[in-house]
Amino acid sequence: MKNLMLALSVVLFSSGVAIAQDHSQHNHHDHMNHTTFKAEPVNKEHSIYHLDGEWQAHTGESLTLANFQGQPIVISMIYGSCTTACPVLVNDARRIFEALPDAYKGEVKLVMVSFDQDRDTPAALAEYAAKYNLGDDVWTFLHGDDNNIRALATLLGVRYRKRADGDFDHSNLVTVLDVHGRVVERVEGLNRPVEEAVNALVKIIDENHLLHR
Amino acid sequence: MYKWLSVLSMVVAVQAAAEPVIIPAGEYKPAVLLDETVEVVVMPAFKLDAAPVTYAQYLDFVLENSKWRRDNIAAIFHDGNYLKSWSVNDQVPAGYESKPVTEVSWFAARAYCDAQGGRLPTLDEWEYASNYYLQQHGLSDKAYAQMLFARHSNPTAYSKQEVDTTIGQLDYMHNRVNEWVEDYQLLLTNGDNNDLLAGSCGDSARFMADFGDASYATFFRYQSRSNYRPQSTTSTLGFRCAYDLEK
Amino acid sequence: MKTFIKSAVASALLVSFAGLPVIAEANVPLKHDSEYVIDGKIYGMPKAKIYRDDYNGPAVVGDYVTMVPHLAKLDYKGNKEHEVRMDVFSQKVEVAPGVSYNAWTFGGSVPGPVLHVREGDRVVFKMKNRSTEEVVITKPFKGASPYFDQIAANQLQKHQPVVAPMPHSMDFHSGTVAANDKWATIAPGETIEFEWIANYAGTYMYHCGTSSVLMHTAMGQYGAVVVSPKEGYPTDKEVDQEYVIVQSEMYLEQMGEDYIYDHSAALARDPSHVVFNGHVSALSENPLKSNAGDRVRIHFLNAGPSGTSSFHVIGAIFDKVWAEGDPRNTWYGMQTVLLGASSSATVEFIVPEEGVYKLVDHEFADAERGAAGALYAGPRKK
Repeated sequence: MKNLMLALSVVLFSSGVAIAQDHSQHNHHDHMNHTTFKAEPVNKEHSIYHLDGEWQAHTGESLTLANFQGQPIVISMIYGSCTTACPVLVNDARRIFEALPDAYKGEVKLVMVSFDQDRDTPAALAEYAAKYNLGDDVWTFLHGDDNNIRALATLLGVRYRKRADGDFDHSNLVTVLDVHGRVVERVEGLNRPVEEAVNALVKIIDENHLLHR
Repeated sequence: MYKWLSVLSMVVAVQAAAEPVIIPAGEYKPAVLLDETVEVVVMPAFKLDAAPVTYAQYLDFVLENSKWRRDNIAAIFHDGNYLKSWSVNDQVPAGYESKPVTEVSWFAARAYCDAQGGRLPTLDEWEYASNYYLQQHGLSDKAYAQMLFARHSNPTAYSKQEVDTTIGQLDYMHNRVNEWVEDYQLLLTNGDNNDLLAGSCGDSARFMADFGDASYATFFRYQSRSNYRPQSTTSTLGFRCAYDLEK
Repeated sequence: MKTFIKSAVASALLVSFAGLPVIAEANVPLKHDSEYVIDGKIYGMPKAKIYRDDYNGPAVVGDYVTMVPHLAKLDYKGNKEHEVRMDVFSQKVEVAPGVSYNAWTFGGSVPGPVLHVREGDRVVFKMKNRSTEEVVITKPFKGASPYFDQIAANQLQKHQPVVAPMPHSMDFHSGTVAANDKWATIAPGETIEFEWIANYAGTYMYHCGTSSVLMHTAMGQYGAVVVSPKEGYPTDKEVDQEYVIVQSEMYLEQMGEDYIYDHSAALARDPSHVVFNGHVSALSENPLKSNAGDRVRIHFLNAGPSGTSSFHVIGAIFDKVWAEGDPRNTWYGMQTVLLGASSSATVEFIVPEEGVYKLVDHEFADAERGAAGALYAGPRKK
C-alpha cells in the first residue's frame, strides 16, 4: 500500500513538473497558469525569527516562528489550490529530507507556509497534508494572516502577488534556516538538485551537536 | 525633562489625530501595466491617512513600542540608518514634529500602521488614491508630471517641508516624500522574461499604458521604489497608512 | 585544465606581440576558477557582490582616474589589475552660466571621471550608492586619485553636495559580462563590487542603467573609459597631446529659481543644452593646449543620451580616425566624424599653425546650444 502511494505520488509530482515546464514556455499565451517571480536577494546575517506574528499549524496548534528555534528547518511557501509548482515544491522539500542520512532525519522539520489566508485554513491544510501523506512529526503547514505572510515572504525573498482569480504568482524557493532562523541555503526553481541543501543541514546538525544532545 | 517632552509630543499627536479619508470605490487605469491583460482595476472603497505620518506621530509609536526604538530595532528590520537623524532614542530632531517621518524601513512602516489598526496601502490603493487626488484638485497631467519630476530632481527640498494633518482631506501625495506601499516590489506578471528584465536599462516601454509625461513620472515612482530593500531607509521615503472600511 | 588555459593565453600573447617593438610583460591574467579564454580574451568573471559597508573615504579611487579632458599616462608595462572606485551620489553642478541642476553623478562631476587602462587589464570595481549622503569632492584627498586635484583646479561646475536618495547602477560598455549580474541596481547605502577585463581597445561609455535609463543618463550619469591598445596606436611616439572630450545633451527647464529635468524635452530629443565636458564653457574657459605642428589626439565620446554628434575641428583635418578607438578601424583624412549615442572615435590631427581652432558639433543646432570649444595653438617649438 505504501509503495503504491509512493508510486502514485511520483506520477503526480512528475506530471506537476511537466505542467510547470510547459507553462514556462507558453506563459505569454496562457493566463490561467501562474507566473514565476525571480526571488529577491536576502539578508543572511540575522534571524528571521524576529518576526513575532502568530501562525496556526495544520494540527490546530498556535505558534510563532521562534518555536522552530533550536533545529534547522526547510521552509517554503505554497498555496493549497495550486496544482503546478506547489506540489513540486512540497516534493522538493521531501527530497531534501529523504536524502538526509537516517540519523539526521529526526533533527529537521519541514515547514510549508501558505500564501492563501482565505482558503488555506488550518483544516484545509490538514487535509492537504493528509492527502500527500505527510506526517505531523516532520511536516508543519502554516496558516497566517496576510500581514504575517507578506513579512515572512519578504524576509525569505519570496515575491508573490495575488491574482484576480484568487490564485498566486510567486517565486519558487526552498530555504534552509539554521538553528537561529538565519538563511543558510536557498534552492530556487523546481526539481533542483538537493545536495547543497542536504550538506547545509548536515553541517548545521554537526556543528550544533544536535545528534548527541 | 523627557516626561515633559513626551507630554508635548502627545499634545501634538492629539492635534494631528484627524480621521483618515475615505477613498470611494471606483475604477482606475494603472499607468504601469504589471499585467498583459488587466487594464482597468476595480477598487473597493478604503480609508487612507490624509497626510504622510509625521515625526510626532511616529514618536508616539516608538514610545509605546520599544522594540521599534532606534536602539532596540532588530538588525534584520533595517539597514543601519533607521531614524539616523534622531540624536536621542525617544526624541525627534528639533523642529521636525510636523514633517513627514523618514528613515523608516518597510518593516517599521508596517509595524506603525499595524499599531494604528491599519496597514500599508497596496500599490493599487496608493495609485488609485493618487488619481482620486489629481481629479479632486483638477491637476493636469503636465502639472502632475512637473511636480513629480521636480521632486525627483530635488527630493530633500520637499521631504523637509511640514504637513498639516488636521485638514481632513487627502493631500501631500506628490510633494513631500515617496511612500512605502505593501507590495512595493515591481511585480510584473506578464512573463518570466519580463520579470527578469524588470524594467531595467530602457526596458520600460512594454510596461507603459502610454508615453506621456504623467505615466513616466508614475513609472519612475514605481521603479525607483522597487529597487529598495525592505530594510532600506532614506531621508526622502516615508509612508501613510490605509484602513479597511468597517464591515 | 587551468594550466592548459594559461598556456593557451601565453601563446596567444606571443603570437599577437610578434614583431612589435613594445613587448608587454606576459602576465598570467587568469584569477578565478570561473574564467576562460577565447581568442586571447578573458571571460567568465565571478558574480558581483552586493553588500553594505561604512565606507566614507574618497568617492573616487584609482591611480589612472582623471577629470575630463585629462587622460592619465599608463606608466606601467604589460597588464595590470586596477582597483577602481566611483561612488554614486548627487551633486549640484553648473552646466551654463546661471544654470545649475541637481545632477546624479559618478564621482561628483558631469561627465564622470575618465578611467584609463590598457587592453587586457583587469578592473576590480567598487561603487557605493551614497545618494543619501552629502559627499564633498572639492577638497583634496591625499593619495585618492588625480581626479580630485583636477577638480580642485577647475571649479567651473561649482560642485555642491546634494542629498537625493535613489537606486543606481553602473554599466561599463568596456566590460563583457552578464549585465543582470554586474550592472545590477543597488539601493542607497549598498556597495556593489565586480570585475571586468578590458578585452577590447577603444573609448567606451559608462552609465547608469537603472530605469528610467533616459532620466538617469540625462541627469548626468555617464563618463568615458579609455582602453589603450595592447600594442598601442601606430602613432604613439609622435603624439604631443592627448585629450578626452565627452559630448552630452542636457534637458533642463526652469522651475522657480531652479532647473529640473524635463522629461518631455528628453523624449522629444529637444535639449536645452548640448555640452562638451559638462559645461557650455568647459573648453572655452579652459581650452585645450597645443603648439603649431603638434599631433593632437582626442578620444571623443558622444554620451547622448539620445542625440548624434558630428565632431569637427575648424581649420584641421583628421589625419587618422580610429572608429570606437580600436586601432583596427582606421579611417584617413576625415573632416567630420559622425557618432551615434554611446559611440566614440579616437581622432588625430596636425595643428597647422599658431592660432585658435574651434571644436564643434557640426550639427549646428547642437553647436548653438553649447557644443563648441577651442584648442589654442602656440608657436611651433621644434
